[in-house]
Amino acid sequence: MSIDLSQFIGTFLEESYEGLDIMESGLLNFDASDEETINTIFRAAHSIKGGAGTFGFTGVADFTHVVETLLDEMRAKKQEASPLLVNLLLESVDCIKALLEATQDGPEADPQIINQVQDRLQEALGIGTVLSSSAPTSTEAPSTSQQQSAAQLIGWDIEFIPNVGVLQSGHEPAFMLEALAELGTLHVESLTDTLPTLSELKPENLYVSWNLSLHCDCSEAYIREIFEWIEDECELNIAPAIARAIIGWQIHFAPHVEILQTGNEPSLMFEALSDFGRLTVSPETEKLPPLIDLCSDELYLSWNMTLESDCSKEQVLDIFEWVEDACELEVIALSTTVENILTSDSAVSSDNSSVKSEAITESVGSSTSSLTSSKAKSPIEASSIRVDTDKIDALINRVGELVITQAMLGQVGDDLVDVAGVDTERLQKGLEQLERNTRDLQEDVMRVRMLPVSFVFNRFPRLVHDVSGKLSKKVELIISGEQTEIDKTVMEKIGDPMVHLVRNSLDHGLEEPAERIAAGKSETGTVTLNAYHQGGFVVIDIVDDGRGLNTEKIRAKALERGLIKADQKLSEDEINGLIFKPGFSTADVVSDLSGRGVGLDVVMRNIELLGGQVSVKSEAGKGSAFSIKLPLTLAILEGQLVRVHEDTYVIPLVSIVETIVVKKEQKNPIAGEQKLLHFRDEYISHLDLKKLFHLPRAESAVSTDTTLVAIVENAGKKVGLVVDELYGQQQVVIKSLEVNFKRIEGLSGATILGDGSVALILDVAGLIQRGLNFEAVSAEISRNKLKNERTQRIL
Amino acid sequence: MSTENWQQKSTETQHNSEGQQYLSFVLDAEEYGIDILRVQELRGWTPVTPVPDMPEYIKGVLNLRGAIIPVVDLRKRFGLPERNYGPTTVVIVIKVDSGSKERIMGIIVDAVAETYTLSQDQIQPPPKIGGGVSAEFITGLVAQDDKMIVLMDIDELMNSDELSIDVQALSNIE
Repeated sequence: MSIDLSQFIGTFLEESYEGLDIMESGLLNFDASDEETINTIFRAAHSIKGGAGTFGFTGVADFTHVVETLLDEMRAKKQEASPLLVNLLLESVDCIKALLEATQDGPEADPQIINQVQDRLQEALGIGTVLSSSAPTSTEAPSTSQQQSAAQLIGWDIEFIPNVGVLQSGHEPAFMLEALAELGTLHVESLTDTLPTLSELKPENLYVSWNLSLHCDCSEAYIREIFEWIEDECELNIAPAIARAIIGWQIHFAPHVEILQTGNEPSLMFEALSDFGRLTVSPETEKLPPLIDLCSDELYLSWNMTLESDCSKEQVLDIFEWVEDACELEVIALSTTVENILTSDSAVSSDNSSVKSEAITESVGSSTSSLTSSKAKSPIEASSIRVDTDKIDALINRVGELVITQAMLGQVGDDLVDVAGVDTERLQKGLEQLERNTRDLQEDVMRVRMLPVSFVFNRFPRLVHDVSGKLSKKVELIISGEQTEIDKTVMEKIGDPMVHLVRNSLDHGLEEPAERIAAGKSETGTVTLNAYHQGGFVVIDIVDDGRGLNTEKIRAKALERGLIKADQKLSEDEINGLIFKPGFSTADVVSDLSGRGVGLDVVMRNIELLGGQVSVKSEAGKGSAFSIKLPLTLAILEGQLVRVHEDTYVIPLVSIVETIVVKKEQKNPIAGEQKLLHFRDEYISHLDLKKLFHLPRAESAVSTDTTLVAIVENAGKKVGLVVDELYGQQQVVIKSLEVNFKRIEGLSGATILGDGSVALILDVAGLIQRGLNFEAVSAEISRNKLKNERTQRIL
Repeated sequence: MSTENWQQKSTETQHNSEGQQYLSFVLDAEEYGIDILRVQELRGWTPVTPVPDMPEYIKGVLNLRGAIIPVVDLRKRFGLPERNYGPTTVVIVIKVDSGSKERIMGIIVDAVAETYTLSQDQIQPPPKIGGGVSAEFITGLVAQDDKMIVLMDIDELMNSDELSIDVQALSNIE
């Protein structure tokens, strides 16, 4: 019976990474007074250790063990949670991550770092133990022990054996018991072993002794006071009641007198109960009538029973099932702590309903901390399920097909309306319903891929913590809108660009504390991450209140890099936009945080690959705001359907700035060709799709008076695409051309229209590149030619 | 690896002894045969969406139950005279082994003819011929009832020229 564990490794790793995330966020929000935080962190570490051990990742298990030990000491308040220690633990989290990655063909974890961190952990542990053993009087220790004693010591066990003659000296044990009962809840067990036979019994003697258990928070002295007068005439043993780890049931069983007549036999029930565990039965004989009134077929006894067993309440109740209506039954849980008995007892005494089936222990029983922990954990466990993304994608595809089929059916239904003599009402109704359901289904299925953007945002508290530490800047991170949902694929790919932008804000945007104070700002800088929906897009803003972009510097740099001409007039926004140009970095000093040569151009390219856009707004001295606009999903695109020649093409709506009708006289000819279009103070070049795609131009020759132009924008470049006709706007499911064909420049994919035909989706960035490249190259060539000619002439 | 090779060989020999099945189709007056195991389905001709900047023989792309597949006109590919598509015009959907992956593609033929079970000794090696169909796409010739059937290697054919996957581009995407 060997199980192939390898199939579970993936799950283990995923869970471990999640665990590490939990540890990290816990440590970042660490609050020493909140026991729950440390417990959560500890549990996460514990499960990683356990899993790693199971799968034979001894490196991970050993390392995590040390971390766990340290956390355990923190949990037990043997270690003070200093910021230093928290940082050390954060480093340990990184180490565990590295070790885990190393097990999966990742880069080998640096043993030096691992060992170093491990040594420091050991050291911390060493100090911890020394501290706790040598200085038990540290502020934490007494309160802890008190807490512990309070938790465990919750009453007194009293053994009270009066001498036989106490009654003669005027003492009345019953009064004492009453006095005790006033202090708290008293359980009295009478020991009647010494009771002599009736003939030997002397009424003035006391033959009974008692075992009392008193649940109260009074001191021992208080109890002794009650027995003060009798002290010399009795044996009194008072012991603190310690929490008993017995799980069992206390049963009070008071059958009605006629129960025997119904054929039930209590003794059989006791036997059945004793099968579960140790059963102590003490009969109550209060109702026993004088012998003369006693009727043989009536039952006057009731019983108090204690059952030490781990059986369930239901099992106990089952035994009494048949007599349920003919008795008074109370079943009370004896839980791990005596506290439970206490509370449940008091509850019982105040409420004498016949069958107490409420689980009292559940509400009062376990300590509050474990309660909250189970509350905090359960929603996560209950609400997610791990599914391979391929399965989801297959589902989305299938639903996409269903939508097309539904559209086709709808078309058929519409056609049938025109056929005379056919009643299509029922068909139409059905088709309407089908449409509604299909749309809902599609939306639901799409939502499966959506995750709250908090999955990305969660990494930033740590990043800001680390980076601000390194830069010795004070930074407050404000996160909002983290519940905004976005496609998983988009989310996975947006992380790195965002890290880049946030680091950028921390490194370049925010000033040193001194500079901030000088500028009349608060010492602590603020970085705000905000996500929200806007149309069919998700917008993520990264805002800092730093110095803002230095337009002068950017301009100078761009000039130096040859990105702009000296006499070029640019608006502020245009200058700011230059920071996204390749090979642009304004950092005076190349720090290890940003300015590694990988500039914002990479950020922009990555975001554009996702079908998104990034822009920046800035105000000198007030701060800068980067805004990332992302499609909700990569699987669906908001598209404008257009006709070019005889075919339908899809232009992504996000790229379209405006669609306009251009009259012939609005076109500005250059060298005889009508290439430029004057649009809102800008000259925009034309791209005739027919020309670009080498399609027949037969139709355009007919009507040249007006042209339909869709102005599209990408990476700050605007281009007018000449189309023949505009159709509607609709959501289209993006299909890859590469799966069965190949990548085609200028096209980002294809989609299937309602009639089942295929429409190609235009890749605006590619088109602009393709259209402008040629022109730019040819322009450059002619310019160079001119220049060369001139220089030659001068020479 | 060696076992795989061996298994492959053994199935090949099995095919040879029992004969391998071929689907034949008609182009102009010629009959061509392809391995029937590569045929996924047969479809009637439906208009396709043309893809810009493609050679004339790539007619465009087709929606095959949600998958976008390219469709190739074999007449044009082989340089045969053009012919209007009619009711018998058939698109054969085939599975093409393109090295790293399997691609589904369509080929437009005049009509589907027959299926043959051919043993290896019935197949003659291809002669050296010129014209549109170069010898590398032909695996053999078979004489059947006074007809000649040209057996084609669709992997070679459908991965040639414009249909080849740009390895460079692929690795860029990944």
